[in-house]
Amino acid sequence: MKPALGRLAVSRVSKAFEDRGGAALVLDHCSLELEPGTLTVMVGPSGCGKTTLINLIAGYERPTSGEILLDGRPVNGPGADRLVVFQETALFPWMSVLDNIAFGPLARGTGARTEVLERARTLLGKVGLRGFADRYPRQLSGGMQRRVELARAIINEPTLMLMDEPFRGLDAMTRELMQEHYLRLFEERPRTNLFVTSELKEAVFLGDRLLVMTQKPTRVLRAIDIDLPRPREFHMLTSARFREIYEEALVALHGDGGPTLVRSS
Amino acid sequence: MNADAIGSAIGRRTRSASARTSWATLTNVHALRGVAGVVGFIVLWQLGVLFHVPVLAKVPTPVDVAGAGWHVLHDPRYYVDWLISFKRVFIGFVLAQVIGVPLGLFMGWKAAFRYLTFPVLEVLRPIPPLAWVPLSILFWPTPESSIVFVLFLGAFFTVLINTVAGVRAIDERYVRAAISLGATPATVFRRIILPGALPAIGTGMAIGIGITWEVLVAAEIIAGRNGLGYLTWEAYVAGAVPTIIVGMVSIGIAGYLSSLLIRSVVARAMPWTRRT
Repeated sequence: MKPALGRLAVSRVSKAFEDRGGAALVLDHCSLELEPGTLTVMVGPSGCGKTTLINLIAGYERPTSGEILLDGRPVNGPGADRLVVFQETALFPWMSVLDNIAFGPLARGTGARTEVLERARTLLGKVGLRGFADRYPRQLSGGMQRRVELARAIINEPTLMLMDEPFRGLDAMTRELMQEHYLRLFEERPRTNLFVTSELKEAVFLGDRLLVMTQKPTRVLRAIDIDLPRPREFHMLTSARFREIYEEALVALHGDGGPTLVRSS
Repeated sequence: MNADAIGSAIGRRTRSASARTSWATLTNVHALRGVAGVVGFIVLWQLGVLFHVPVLAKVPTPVDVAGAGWHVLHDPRYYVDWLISFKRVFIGFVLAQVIGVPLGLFMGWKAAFRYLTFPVLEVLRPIPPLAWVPLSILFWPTPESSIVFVLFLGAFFTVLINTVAGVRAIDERYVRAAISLGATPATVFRRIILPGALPAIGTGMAIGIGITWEVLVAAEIIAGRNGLGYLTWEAYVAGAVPTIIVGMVSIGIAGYLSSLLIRSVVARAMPWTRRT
């Protein structure tokens, strides 16, 4: 069941940063639209403006020009309706795992303390960390920390989840485990997700739609619909349809003869 | 539970079990070494005096000092001196925390306030507490308040500077994350800034308590009535050299006990920094 809310419209957004002797244009009239309850994955050359775009949508930074609307309302600053999960975890080291997850609802005063803690516990079980409630983040492995981070975002029921390379740097097995937990949480309760990754295979496996971005100044080069059925399962990685989409994305990313790669200075 | 979780849970248990046994042995070894060091020091001192090593010519032997110590231990005024010195150090130290920690937190948190106050404090900071003695005698109504003031200064700047540095070292990601999750500025302060700066505040406290004891003798010379610092000074005036050393050792032990106390309180307040 798709939710009614969670339509993101980024229209003609540009972002320039002050640079030595001028302004460096990172985003140039970038436009994209996310449908409520869909998982959109963004790939592009490393160093292009993906993280900048995430920061703009999260409200950490303001666009130089253009407009970002979430369900018709302009984005003016950070808010619990748009939560970011970063590649480096930002779990509070001085709070137990459970307190970390319960932080958002308690800080905003939504729900009684016992009820919030109960929900946090349930969610902790869903990411496979039942029994780790009283640990401190540093006592967990990297993969476990990122699952706590995921739970800490989801408990707030944001209309939009921004995933900025959240599984980067994890070993292959842990990464697959994370993908599984992430997919299960998404498929159980779809909400709008924008997922940045540099792994094309991961992108096609997770997403409903794939956005291939250009070099700086960044724009959407191509949008590819991924029509693999849900729930996604690992055996789909070897299906013919997966390969077709993957190759289409590869060509879009690198160009036919790879001119985009060669041109990068 | 999945394989990942089980694997690391098992790993942790074996690791902490082996850590516990080796920790116990290590503590014993460390304690024994400590005792051996103290005994060795006393023996060298005794031998040095006996064989007229030049620097030690006028120094009483440990046996003389023990004799003087025995005498002092039978004097009830000695215990009053302990209590009085502890009280002064405690009041000066606590005042330094009560003023220094909130001021440091606020300076670290609000850049405008930091720019306003930093130059003044940076000029006052290098002035040693002893240089404040004449002014504080003129300035404060009673000798007791002058002593506490000088002790306060000893701990104040250390705590302040450490607190400011502690707040500024807090990773911006934590603040961003808290704001995103809907925290008000008051919540950010209480649940991010304060605990985030706590390790640095603890370091400032441990150094600060040491400095207050260092300043004690000078501060108690001002008042000239009682206290471990005064005991040391009085012995000097009376020419009772072994008693001087008894006073010095007493201050050393008192300072050491205070640091141990502070460290254990600080560690208790920060369970997340524990190794296991």
